[in-house]
Amino acid sequence: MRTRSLVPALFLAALAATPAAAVAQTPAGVPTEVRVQRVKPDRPKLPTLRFLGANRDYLRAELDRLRVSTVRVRGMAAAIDPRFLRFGEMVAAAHAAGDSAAAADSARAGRELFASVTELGGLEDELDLLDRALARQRERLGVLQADFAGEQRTSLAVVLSGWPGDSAPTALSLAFEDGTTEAVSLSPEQRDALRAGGAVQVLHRLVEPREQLFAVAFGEAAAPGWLQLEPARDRVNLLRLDLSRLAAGDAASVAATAWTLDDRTP
Amino acid sequence: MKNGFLRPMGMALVVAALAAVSAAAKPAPPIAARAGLELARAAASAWAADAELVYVENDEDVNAQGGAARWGYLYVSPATGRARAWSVRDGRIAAAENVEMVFEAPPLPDGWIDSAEALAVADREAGRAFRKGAQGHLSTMLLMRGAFDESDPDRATWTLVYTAPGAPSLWVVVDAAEGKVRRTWRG
Repeated sequence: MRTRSLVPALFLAALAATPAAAVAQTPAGVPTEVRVQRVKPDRPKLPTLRFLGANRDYLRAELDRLRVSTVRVRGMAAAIDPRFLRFGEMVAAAHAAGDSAAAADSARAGRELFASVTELGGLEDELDLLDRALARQRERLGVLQADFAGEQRTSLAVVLSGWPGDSAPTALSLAFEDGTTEAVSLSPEQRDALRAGGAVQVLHRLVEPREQLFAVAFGEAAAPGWLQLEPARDRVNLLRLDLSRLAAGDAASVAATAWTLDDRTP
Repeated sequence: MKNGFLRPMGMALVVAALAAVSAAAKPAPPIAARAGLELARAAASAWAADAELVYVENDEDVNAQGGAARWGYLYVSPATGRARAWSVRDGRIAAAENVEMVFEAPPLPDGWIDSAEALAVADREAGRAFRKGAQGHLSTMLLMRGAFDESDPDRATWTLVYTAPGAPSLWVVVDAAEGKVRRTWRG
């Protein structure tokens, strides 16, 4: 008797301990199914900054004692990031390479009528020149990629697909745990794309790299569906909501998958 | 026959549940305050582009090396006037919440000493004697700027609060840039 009651309890405990769709631990590009729930999952809340909470008046009184006073400080110019200086040089080098290639092209056109074995050798030299220019351009692109693409921050892109027919939504909202809500209206073009079997990106924004709940709703009066997701840090995380089975705005009838964008250069 | 099928399934569920519960209950390794800073900063920059760190506090007990299983980081957005805290545990954000209070602490400068160094200094100067004499322990470490140091309130300081049963607490303020004790008091 005791065992019988223990098993469902432990089953529920196991369910409760099931982590969110951990996109963070999944290889890039591999979709993970995300459960969309009708009832908001109850997550234990860990206390934080307890001393601050208990002594806020005292600490604020300490801060109130700060007085604005005039100080003499020499304004110093900050050093310019050397990378930015290098970018200018790189642009100039790219232009110079283009000019060399154009000059070579022009010379080649002029010599077309005097083709000979010797001139074929010259043509090879010109092709080598173009190859070298391309190689240098590739290096420059690599530098730019390392500087900028390497600073990818954690973001979430929401993509819709599927067409549920008559119950197709005209808008959706996504509520985040920090209290912000993103409301999106679907344009006629986007709805046409969904009807034709396409997919549309409706949202792309920065998100906190942690396990969190999102509430998605299709229409103001519709009940939200709850998704638990852990976006991978410093990656573009994609969340696809398949609307094919969306019934009467019931967000929990939507199938959701998440994955991270594979942004490695081939 | 029915029981023969259900029993192994029940056992499997028990094992799965125990494994899940045990994974959730696994104690997190203690880390120094700076170890969680980068992750908190990543979350803060997603929340507000102008987010500034203004306050750090241990969310779980600090050990003898200045490490805690969880540290809390408070950021404010000057543009919106909002504040939000992130609590980092074992390389992950374990909690996040909006802080609904006006807290106009100035932003912390870069280069503050870590919790281990601050604790070592405070222990050496006053904390160790308090622990021995009053049977006390360190209850709180907090890092902020603009409080606890009347002579130079612009400096960021670590404040360590040692408590003991039946005795006034010991407060030790450590300069977070120079690593020197600036003041101590009981209260």
